[in-house]
Amino acid sequence: MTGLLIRTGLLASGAILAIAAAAPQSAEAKDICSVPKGEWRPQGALTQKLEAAGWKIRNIKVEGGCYEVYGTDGSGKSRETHFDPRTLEPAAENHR
Amino acid sequence: MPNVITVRAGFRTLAVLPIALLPIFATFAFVPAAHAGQDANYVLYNQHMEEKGATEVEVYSDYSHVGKGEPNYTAQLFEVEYGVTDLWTAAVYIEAAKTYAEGEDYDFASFRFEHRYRLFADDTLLNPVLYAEYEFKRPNSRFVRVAVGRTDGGEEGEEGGEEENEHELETKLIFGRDLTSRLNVAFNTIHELNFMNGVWSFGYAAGLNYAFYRSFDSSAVAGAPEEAGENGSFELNKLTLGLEAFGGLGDSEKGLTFDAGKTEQYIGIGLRADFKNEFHVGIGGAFGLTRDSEDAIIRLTAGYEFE
Repeated sequence: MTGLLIRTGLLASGAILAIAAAAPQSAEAKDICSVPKGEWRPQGALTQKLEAAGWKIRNIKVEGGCYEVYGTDGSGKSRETHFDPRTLEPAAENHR
Repeated sequence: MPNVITVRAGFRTLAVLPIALLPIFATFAFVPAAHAGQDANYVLYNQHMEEKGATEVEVYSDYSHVGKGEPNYTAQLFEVEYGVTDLWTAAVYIEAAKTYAEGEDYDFASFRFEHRYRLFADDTLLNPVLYAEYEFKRPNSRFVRVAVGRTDGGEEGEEGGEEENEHELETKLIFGRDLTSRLNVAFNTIHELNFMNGVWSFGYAAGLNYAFYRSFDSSAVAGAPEEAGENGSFELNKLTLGLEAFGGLGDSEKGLTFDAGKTEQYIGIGLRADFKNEFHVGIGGAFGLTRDSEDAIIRLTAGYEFE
């Protein structure tokens, strides 16, 4: 029991570091957006646009070739939305 | 001592682990995901939940200077947290601790099983979250998850008596609100029932988290898919400062109290770095404000979130 506990603890700790270090790309869904790199607009522009519209942004990631925004919109609705990186318009919504 | 698990050198490694992590903290402290619940805080929870289907593993290490001539200790807490739904998060914790006193060694200290349930998906004024946690704690459990009760109660460690394992139910009412994208404020009421004696102990935590750096504010076209590491690199995503106050408010035996002379009270400060690959690290300190509080507790954290 104790040995198992020790091993589990150590394995868990080691796993965190190992996984983070290896950091495989998260399994990507099919690209929702398909925009050449040169045409991407900065995340800061999307942040500014959404915050001006009353969003409260918790995080922005890149997923499926889009910017994926986690937060609440101007009406307080919880959102997880993909935005086209060229137009900064919504491309898809993950329903929460 | 049939019920005492003697732990040998293996657990010593657990104490060394945070030290081994220090170079990583140092390397990436200035280079940071959606946070679930505690952000950069010690005790305080806010309304943020684990994303549905996401799993987070986290290691916390406390190093305490207790003061008052009492021996110091170190305690490690291992957590696995899972988003059952976007509104319901479950977690298990295992603690190991060592008090720096003669004859003490690293030992299993506690097991906890926690559930949090957020009542409303969309923003409301206070975004209430219900929290319930079962705790099995051995006498050597030291990790600070809350500060509750009063220090003149005498229910813990009665002199002359052998301390027993404890079974407790801890409940919280969590309120939190994002005032802006960067600033979250939260307040918790804490209620802990000791099944062994039927006494309820009460406490609170209140504070804020402020994200003073966010990579997604930059004008760079960060994270375009052709660039190395999309969401998989040790690139800083967010730096968050946490400030909080927490402490006891009395119990059901001797009554509620705001008397600082009869409770433990702390102020806590924490810094958390989130990286784009879902790894995060943190460092923080909690400092005792009253005579019966521990002098200082330093906490290091490291965690990773799987989607």
